[in-house]
This record gives sequence, structure tokens and C-alpha cells, in this order.
Amino acid sequence: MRASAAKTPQSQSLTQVALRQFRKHPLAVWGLRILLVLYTFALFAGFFTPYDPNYYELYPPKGHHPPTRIHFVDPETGKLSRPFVYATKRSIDPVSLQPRYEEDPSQGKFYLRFFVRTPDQPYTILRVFRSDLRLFGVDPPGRIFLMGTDNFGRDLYSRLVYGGQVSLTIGILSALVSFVLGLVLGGIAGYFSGRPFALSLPLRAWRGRGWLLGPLSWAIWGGLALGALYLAWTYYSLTGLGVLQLLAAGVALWFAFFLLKTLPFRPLLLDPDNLIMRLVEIIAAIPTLFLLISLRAVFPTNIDPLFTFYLVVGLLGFIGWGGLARVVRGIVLSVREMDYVQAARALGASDARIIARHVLPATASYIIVSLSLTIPGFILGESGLSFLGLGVTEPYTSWGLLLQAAQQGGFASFVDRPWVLWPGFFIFVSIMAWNFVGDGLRDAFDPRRRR
Amino acid sequence: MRKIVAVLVSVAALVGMASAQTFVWPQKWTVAKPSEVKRGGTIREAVISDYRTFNPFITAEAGNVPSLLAGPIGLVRRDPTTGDWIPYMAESWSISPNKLEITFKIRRGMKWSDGKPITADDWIMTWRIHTDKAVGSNSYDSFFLDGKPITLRKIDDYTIRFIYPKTDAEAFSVAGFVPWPAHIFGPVYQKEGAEGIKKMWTLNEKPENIVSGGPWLIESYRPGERLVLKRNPAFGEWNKDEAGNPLPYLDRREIRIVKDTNAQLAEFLAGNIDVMAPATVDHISQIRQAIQQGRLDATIKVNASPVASSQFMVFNWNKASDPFKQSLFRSDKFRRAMSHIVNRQAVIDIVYGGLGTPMYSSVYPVLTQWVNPKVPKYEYNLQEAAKLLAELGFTKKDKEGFLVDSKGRRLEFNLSTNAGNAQREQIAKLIVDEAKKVGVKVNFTAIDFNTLVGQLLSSGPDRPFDAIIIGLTGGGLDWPFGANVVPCKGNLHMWNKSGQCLDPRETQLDALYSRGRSELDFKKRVEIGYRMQEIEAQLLPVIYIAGPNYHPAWNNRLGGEHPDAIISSIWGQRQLELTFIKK
Amino acid sequence: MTAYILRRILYLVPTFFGATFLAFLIIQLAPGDYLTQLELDPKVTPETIARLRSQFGLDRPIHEQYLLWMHNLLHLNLGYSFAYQAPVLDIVWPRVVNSMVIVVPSTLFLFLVAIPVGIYGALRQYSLGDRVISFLAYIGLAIPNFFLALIFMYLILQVYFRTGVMVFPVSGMTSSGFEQFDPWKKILDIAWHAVIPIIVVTTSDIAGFSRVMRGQMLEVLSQDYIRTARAKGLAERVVVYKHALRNAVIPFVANIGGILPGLISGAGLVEVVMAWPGITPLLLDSLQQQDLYMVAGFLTIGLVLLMVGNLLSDLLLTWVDPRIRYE
Repeated sequence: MRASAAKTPQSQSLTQVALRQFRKHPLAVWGLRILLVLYTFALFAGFFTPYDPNYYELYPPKGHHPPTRIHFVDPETGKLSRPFVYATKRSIDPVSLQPRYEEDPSQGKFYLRFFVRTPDQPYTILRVFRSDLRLFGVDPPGRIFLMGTDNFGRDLYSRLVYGGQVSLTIGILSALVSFVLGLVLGGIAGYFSGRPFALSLPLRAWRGRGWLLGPLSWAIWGGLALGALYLAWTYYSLTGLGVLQLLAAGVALWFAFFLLKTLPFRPLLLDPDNLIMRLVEIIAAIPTLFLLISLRAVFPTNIDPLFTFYLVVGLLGFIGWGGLARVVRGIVLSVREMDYVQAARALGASDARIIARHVLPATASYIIVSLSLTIPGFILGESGLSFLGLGVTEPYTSWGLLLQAAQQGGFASFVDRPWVLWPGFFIFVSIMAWNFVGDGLRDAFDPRRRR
Repeated sequence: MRKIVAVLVSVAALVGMASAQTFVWPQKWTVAKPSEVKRGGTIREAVISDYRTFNPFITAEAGNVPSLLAGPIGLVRRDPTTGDWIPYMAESWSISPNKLEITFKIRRGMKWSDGKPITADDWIMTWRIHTDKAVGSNSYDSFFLDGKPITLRKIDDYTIRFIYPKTDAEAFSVAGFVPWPAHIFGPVYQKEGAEGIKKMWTLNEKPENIVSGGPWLIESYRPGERLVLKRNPAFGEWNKDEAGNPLPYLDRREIRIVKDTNAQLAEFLAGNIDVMAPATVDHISQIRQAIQQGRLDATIKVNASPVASSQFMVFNWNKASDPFKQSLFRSDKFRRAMSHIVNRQAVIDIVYGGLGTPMYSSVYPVLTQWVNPKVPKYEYNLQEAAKLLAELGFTKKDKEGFLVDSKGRRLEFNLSTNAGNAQREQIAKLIVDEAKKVGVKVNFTAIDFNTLVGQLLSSGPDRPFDAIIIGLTGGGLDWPFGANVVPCKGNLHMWNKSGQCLDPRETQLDALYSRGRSELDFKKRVEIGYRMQEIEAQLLPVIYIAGPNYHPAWNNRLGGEHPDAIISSIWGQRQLELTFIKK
Repeated sequence: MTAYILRRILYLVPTFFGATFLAFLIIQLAPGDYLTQLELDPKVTPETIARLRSQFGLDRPIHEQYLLWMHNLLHLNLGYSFAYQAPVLDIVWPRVVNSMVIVVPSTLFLFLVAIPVGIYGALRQYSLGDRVISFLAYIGLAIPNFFLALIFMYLILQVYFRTGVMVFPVSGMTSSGFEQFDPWKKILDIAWHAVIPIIVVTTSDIAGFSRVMRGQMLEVLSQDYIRTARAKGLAERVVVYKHALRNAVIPFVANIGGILPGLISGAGLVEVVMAWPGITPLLLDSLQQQDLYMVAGFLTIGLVLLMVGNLLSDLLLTWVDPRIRYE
């Protein structure tokens, strides 16, 4: 073995090939680097930020404070100095009526300090590790606002980093939800297409477990038939007799008759492919924006903000799975007919094994690529929901929510306090980065596009 | 009031031969003199929401088309300089000795836009249709007093009598309703009843079929986009300025539907709309900067007045399932402590950008005649709050820093407001943070508006909420207390909906409310109102917070605005009938 | 073929009932109803509200409301809007037409830009041009639409302040005094107003669309028959445009059905931000007010169009791709 290995050219796994290809794509590599930085900041948000994202003080007010200027040169001596900031004095602009802040050297210099501890503002990482060590900060009453503050006077930089936690994870989590749904349902639809499930047991199968399932299935179908008859009757009693009413009654009766004729003798068969694809069609039929809003309205808003977060994730994921299910179904349908799968089946492999060993891997590269291209869509979706006031709620924040605040300010956000546009920049950068990474992955996994 | 009537009569005598008896619009309602007025031109406005119908009987939203067409018309109207009722479409009235009947003499010679005369029949028919349950008119309830109907009787074509079941401070407000043409609605109503009325005057109706007695007619309507109104010449026959010019001066009103306030601002800055009431300091800042830099020739009155609405936090007194909270919420000291926690100045500074007004009573701050200046105010004061809570037995703090009583029960409640109202959510945040400083745990959630209303209006001994931040609008100048709010059985008696008064002071307020509502003497009514505010301040049934201010702005191509003294959220910035285009 | 179409239509029946019922249910599941907002009005008594509720049929169980609505629907009556007290179609239709002023050109524009960009990207893979174009396309994608619109409005205002020239209108669909214009001027006026919304809507889709096109082209170009065609000595132009392109657009044809309901479902949040009187602001209001039949009626129109669209695109596929036959 050893001897031959030395001679043959090194064989590479698919992943290795893809990785090498990926590295040839400079934009994608840059995208990945940016994402790494963004996600690291989000993960260690507490460490990288100087303040708690919800911390503000009423006196003196710091609302709409511009980014703090960091001085590197001591104005008294004119020489380079350790970086420091000045405290600020607030006044109201007589024309715009907006707050104005001026540096107030009389309170002294506040040197930028690294690895400071803030016992009054502890934080946790992943809700597990408690700490109060922060990368940088200045001594109070000096403040350092790298990207200014919002109307409460909360540090926008800290809020952006914490908002990144929400926005960036919402992207990934929603994509995962929609992928799990799409994969499972698309997979079932494709794999079992043409192999219908039995949804009732005929009399002769009432043995063993059948004693339980048989009557149960009959009861359910009977209930459905009764429901149909009841609906037809309600329809008649509401609107009187006519062609449509007769038609409805006819359909209901036919359904009941069909059940009577079928249930005792044959199992009722239902092709899951048909069912799932109808479901996909139904969901696709309702415009996304309206489906999102109406679904959001179903859930009461008097719920824990954290739950709202998961709700948004779930909703975004739920909206997106249809298209994916259709593609996965297509892939599975073709893989199912491949010789090696047929061979495995002939060898007696179980459905579960075939799906896990043969069918799913075939969809892997498509999924990785598609995942990375869907995530930015969900980040945008979150900002759209926030624009409508349906996204995450305080005390959590997200880039969408912060951008919505800027949008509400309107032109004042551009003129009086341009720093509130930062969340727009971060949304922009993260979406670009994810798209480049997705592009790179697609080219990397696709042998035809390699260079 | 008398004086104005006298002036009107003399003017009518002077005109003498004119075809219609005219109503002369007093000079003091505008800053412009009749000599500087120019006729013609178009005023361009913008509104937030689209119109739903042209039908006056089913319209429900504020600023609806029928009310635009009608303008001020009604038997009586208010004089913005005094707030008094003055005869308008009526030339005079007489009140019966028992004060239950008011007989109006209708001005002669007024015409609908299609040339038919306006007579008593129009009022009778309008009233009939409004009070037909099957029509579902929004004005239905205004024609009843404590469930008993107010009736109208035609004496002759130009005399009409209103008969009230009891004396009513708001009698004129009822009598001031807008009449609609009986010759249009009557035949349909007779033939097809309510269903026929409901099908009339939808948005698809041809503009020329819409008949108005007010200053405006519909010229065109583009759904979701623009409503254009044109001058109704018939209105000008009996509405003149002091120089005898027919009103309105303008030829046209263009009202654009602009859902987004930023877009409205952009259009105002670009000079494409003429009037605006910017709501936030951000918008005001843009307008003021544009004016200062000479990019826009406009006027803005910052902080002209507070808005005509209230905003408050209400605690639920009916919590049978949680006796601890119930007794807490029913305790004066607790509610007073909560009032001390509300930092109204911070609310104004942070939420309203410094442009707001604190509130301490149920009377909107803009109703200056009604506000009792001497009521005690429980201002922001955390020490005082802590002291009051200590008196209730909350002296110790648990390890999270929240107050507990001797039995170890934590001082904690849930607070909610309607989701999507960013300003209320920020107010709630301020309350949560301030409460934490004294050791009260407040759990805030924003709730869907409909759910919130459902909770607020639920009744019985056990209701599903702790505390809610909400606001009310719609209080009147005649009697600013809510018919549904103050009486203990009222639908909007939000703090206590057990159906009965629980606190003797509630009973007192209930009685005072009825007394005030049936008191016809304004001064005495104000005294009752003062007394009610004093009791309210002791009881603190709800804790008033603060509200934004009204900041009207207009492009300087417009003339004829109100004098500064009457520019307010009640009277607005101008009478459109007296508005003109300068160039 | 006819049998296939008939079978397809038969399949549509359960989808139709399923989707309408789902839409109806979702709207109904939200707490409260259209009249809840009225309850906070101090002037309206609970009795009045109860009366209105029974007039609107909102006091009936959901299935009865659905049956009544469906009954009307089968008589081609989409229902009655509570807020407008008028037939839904009368209210919705003019708004849909307004939305189409943006959506139709931007869809055309999308095809006109994205397909060439995609082809270029495939033919000059990894060239500088490919990179620059894809980068530009992504910029449009990466800025939320509602924010992009605000940026445009800001820029227009700034230009106006500096030069006194309104390059494009800041918002709306028509100018003041529109009613008095002659027909030509009316068309020009609307077109002038539509430019910015069309740009905003189109830019957000170009990236995705052109990337898919590029991928398809690359895929087709690597197929054996293209190699054969090239080996045969066919001109590159013929290979690319006659053989490759035709096959590369097949997935688009398959999705053309989705465009039809897309045409009526509006241009999205741009309409709100730029005060375009389209369908989006109307529906957002209706959803918020729970104007039940307005929302359900609109969704039904979309649903029918989607079903028709899907059918059409299946038929179109047989025309583009002769390999596909329906029996």
C-alpha cells in the first residue's frame, strides 16, 4: 500500500478540490474574510464594544451624539500623545433644534485604555461565559462613541455589533429552517414520488398494531366525510338551493360514498409528491410580503422579545422553503433512478440508508452553494420586516431595526446625523460578502466552471 | 355672541337686495385684509391615508371627503377667536324655557351646488338616515343622550326644532351636524332603504353627481393619489368676506395622498405642497434649515400648541386572580409612586426631540380654558417614589435589586402598548428603566393594537393586563370629559371595568360628570371641570405622561392664515375659505 | 394535449380551494377584526359595534364566512371591502394598474439587462468586465429597496437645492394639474415620475437574475452538443445565440408563470416610500385594518393568475424545448 501510494498522484477529495478552486476567486476570499471578522465581532460582542448596547444616561443627555473624535496629538504641546478624547458639552442648535455637542477640554483628557473592566456593565458570551473585560474604553465621565449615538444616547457602535448578532444569525438560522423544511419535504416528495403512502387500513389488515391504527384511520376519514357533508349543508342553509349548492352536496356525498366503498377493502393511497407539491404551489400563490405580514399578525406580540426573534426566524424560513423543495425533489428524482442507487436497493438497503448514503450527498454541493446565496436574502428580509415594524423588538436590536430608525429620521438622518447610516453600510457589506462567498462556492463545486 | 348676531343682521340689512342672506366672515379670523386678497389659484395639500368613500353616511375616517366638501356648514359653528357657538346656516335660534328645545330659523336663499334650495327637509332627512341602525353611520351615537334619542321636528321650510331628552352642554355640537341634500338621498332612502343609501356615492361615483352645500365640489379623484376639489359657486352666494367678496377665494384644492411622511416632507421642501404639520423634530429641522438657507420660502410655527389628545399609563384594578397586584393597583400610594417614576421631561427630550408638553390631567393641555392650573402634579421624583413604596411595605431588595415586601413578594408588573407605535415604545422603555432605579420590575411588551384594545376594554372582575400605555382623542371644547371614560359603567373606564364604582371618588366623578354635561352655564361647567380635575389628581385613575406639540407650516405663497393667537391644534393654521394665493 | 390541459385544470381545483381557505384562515386567525379599532373611539357605543359586526357578518363562525365569500366568488364577486364599503375589484383594480406602470417596465428592463449581462459573464468568465459588472449588480441587491428609494429622494432634493432643477420628481405618480394635461403630456408625466421607482425595483433583481443566466449559459456551453457544433465549424455567434442561448433560457420560461401574479402584486415597499399609488400601500393598510375581503379578494386574483401563469409556462416550454411532450 505504502509503496503504491508514493507513486500515484495524490488523489484529492471533492472538498479539497473545491477549496483550492475557491482560493482562486479573490472576491470570494475577501468575502469570507469580511464575514469572519463580522461573525467574530458578533460572537464576542461584549468584548469588542465599550458599552452595554442598552446603556444610556439621562443626565447629562447624550442623544444623537456624533462620533467622538479621537486625538492623537496633544493640542497644548503639539506633540504625538497617547490617543485620548475630550468630554463634550451639549447645546441645542437654534435653527435645527437638534442637539449639538462641542468638545470641552476643561474637563481634561480621557485617555483611551485597552482591556478595561466595567463591573457595572457585565456581559455574557453565548449566554454562558460571564465577563466584564472590554477591548477598549475611556474613564467616565468621558465617553467614546465610535459611531455616535441614537436618540436615547446609546452607543451606536455597541448597538451595531450586538445588532449584528441578530441580523447575522437570523440570516443563517432562517436559511437553515427553510433548508431543513425544503430538504425533508422535497426529499420525501422526490424519493417517494410514485410510491404512495397508505393512509388507512382495510379490514383485513386489522391485526396487531392494526387494531389501533385501523379504527383510528377510519375515524379520521369518517370525520372528514362528515365535515364535508356538514359544510355542504351549511352552505345550503346559508344561501338556499341552487346549482352550486347541489354541486357541493354532490361532491360531499361522492366523497362519503367513495369512502364507504373503499375503506373496508382497500387502503387509501396518497402520493406524498402530489400533496407536497400542491402545498408548495399554495404557498407560492400568496405574495411573500403579504404572507409574512399576515402570518406575523397571527402571533400575538405580547411575547418575550427573544421569542419574537425566533418567530421572525421561523417565518422567514417558512416563506423560503418552497422553491428549494422543488429543486431538491428534482435532484432526488434523478438520483433515485441512477444505477448505483438501484443497485443499493437491489442489495436490500433500507430507504433510510439509501437516503442518507446516496441521495442526500448528491444534493450536498447544491445545498452549500444555495445556502450561502439565500442567507443574504434573509438578512434583507429581516430589514424589510423591521421597516414595517414587525421585526425583532427591544431590548434586542438588529441592523434592520437600526436602519429603520435612520429611515424614520428621513433627510435629517443624512444631514443632521449621517452616522446613523452605519447600519445600512453593514447590511450592504454583509450581503455583498455572502454573495461573493456563494459565487465562489458555486464555481468551486462545479467542475465545469473551474479554471 | 350677541354682538356678532347683531353685526350679521345689520350687514344683511345693508346688502338687502342680495339674492341670499349672507354670512360675513369676520376680518379677525385671518391676518389678511380683504384689499390684499387675490382670487383664484390652487392650494396643494397632502394627507397620509387614502379616502374610502364619498358617502357622508358611511364614512368613518378623520378628514374624510364629505367633511372636506362640507367645510364648516351646519346650523351653528364656532368662532375660533372665542370658541363660542355662533349662528351659521341658521340666522338665529331660540331656546325653550325648560332648556330642552332649541328652535333654529334657517337662513333663506342658501342653495345646493345643483341649484336646489337648502331647507329644513335636508336636516330632517340627514338625521333620519344617520339614526337608521341599518345604515351603520358613525354619527349614530351622537344623536342619543344616555340612550334616549334627540329628535328633530320641521316647523316649516325654514324653521327646525331640536328636542333633547335632557339638558345638554353639547346641545349645539349636536345641532351643528352637516346637512346633506334630501332631494338626492331622500328618494333612494324611501325606495331602497338603508341598503340603497350604502350603495350611493362610492369612490367610483362621477364627481358631477356629488352635490354639496359646502365650499367645495369634487373635480376629480385618482385612487390612492390625488383628490382635486373645486370651488362651489353656490356657497359663495351666501358666504362673503367683509368687503362682500364671495368665498372661498381659491379656485381649487389639490390633496395628494402621500403615505410616507418623509415623502411629504420632500414635497414640502421642494415647494410642491403648500401646507404641512411636521410631527418630528427631524422634519422641523429640515424645514427650518431650508428656510434659513433661502431654499424655501415658508413659515413654520414651532410649538404652536400641544396636540388635542392625551397619553397615559393605566393600571388594571380588576385582577381577582392576583389579589396582591389588585390591591397594589388599587392603592393610591402605588399609583402616586408610579407617577413620580414617569420622567416627563425625559420623554419630551428623548421621544419628542424636546418639542412636547407634559400632561397631568384628563383635560388636554391645549384646552387652556379647561385646564385647572392648581391641581397637584406628581412630578418625576425617585426619592419620593421610593418613600411611598416603602410606606406600602416594600423596604427590602432581593438579590437582583428589586423591592420585595415582608412576605417576599416582588414588586413587579407587566406593561404593554401597541406595537408599531415607536414613540410609545420609547416611553415604555423610559418607564421600565426609571422603575428599575427604584427597584420596581416592569416587564414591557409591545402588543398588537387589536389585542391591546381587547384587553383594555374587557370587563369583569378579572381582566388580562397589568398596565397599558395608550392615548385618547376626541374630547370636546364644550365638555372635555369623555362620556365613555368617566362614568363607572363607561366602556372606556379602563382602569375599572367591574361595572361599578369601587372608590368613592369614582362615584363623585361620575356624579360630577353628569352634572357638568347637563349644566348649560359655561362658567359653572368650568368650575365642575376644575373640581373633577382635583379629584382626578388625588385618585390618579390613570397616570398622564406627555404628548407632542403641533407645529403648522405653510409655503409663503399662501396668505390668509389665522392670527397667531388662534393657531392651535384645535383651530388649525387657517380657514381655507379665507386662504388665498399671493402670487 | 387537450387531455393534459384538462387534467391540469382539474388538479387546480383543490389547490384553489386550499389556497383561498389558507389565506382566509390566516387573516382570520389574527386577533381582533376590522371593528376593533373603532372600539377605542369614545363616541361609539358597544351596541353600535355589535350591530356593525353582525352587519358585516363578522359574528359568524369562520367556515360560514368562508362559504358565503366563496359563494360570491363563484359568482365572480370578490366581496365587499369594509373600509371602502365598495366592491373589492373596484378598489383594487386602479391600484393594480398603477403598480403595473412600474412593474411591467422594470420586468422588461430586467430581462433586457440581466440576460445580456449573464451571457457576457459566461462568455468572458472572470474577465475584468465580468467582475465589475457583477460587483455593480450586487450593489443594487445589497441595499434594501426602501432605503435606496430614500437615498434617491435625498439626492434629487439636493440637486434641486443646488441648481433649482427637479431632475426627477421626489414622489408620486403625476404632477399637480395633471387632469388638465393633454394625453401626450399625461403619458410623459407618468413616465417621468416612474423612472426612479423603476430603477429602484430593477436594481435589486438584476444581480440574482444575471447570475442565474450566467450559470445556465456556462452549463450549456460545456455540453457535448455545443462542442459538436463548434467542431462542425459553426460560427461562434451561431453557436452561442442559436444553440446555447435557446437552451439556457429554458428555466426562465419554466418560471414565466411566476411573473404573471408578480405583475399585479406590486412593486413593494418603494411604493410606500415614494408615495406611488400602487397596490402595496393599499394592501398594507387593508392588512393592518383587517379588511378581510379586500385582502382575501386580492390574494385570490393573484392565485388565479399564478395558476393560469403556470399552465401557460408549461405550454410555452413545449414550444421552446421540443423534447418536452405532454400526453
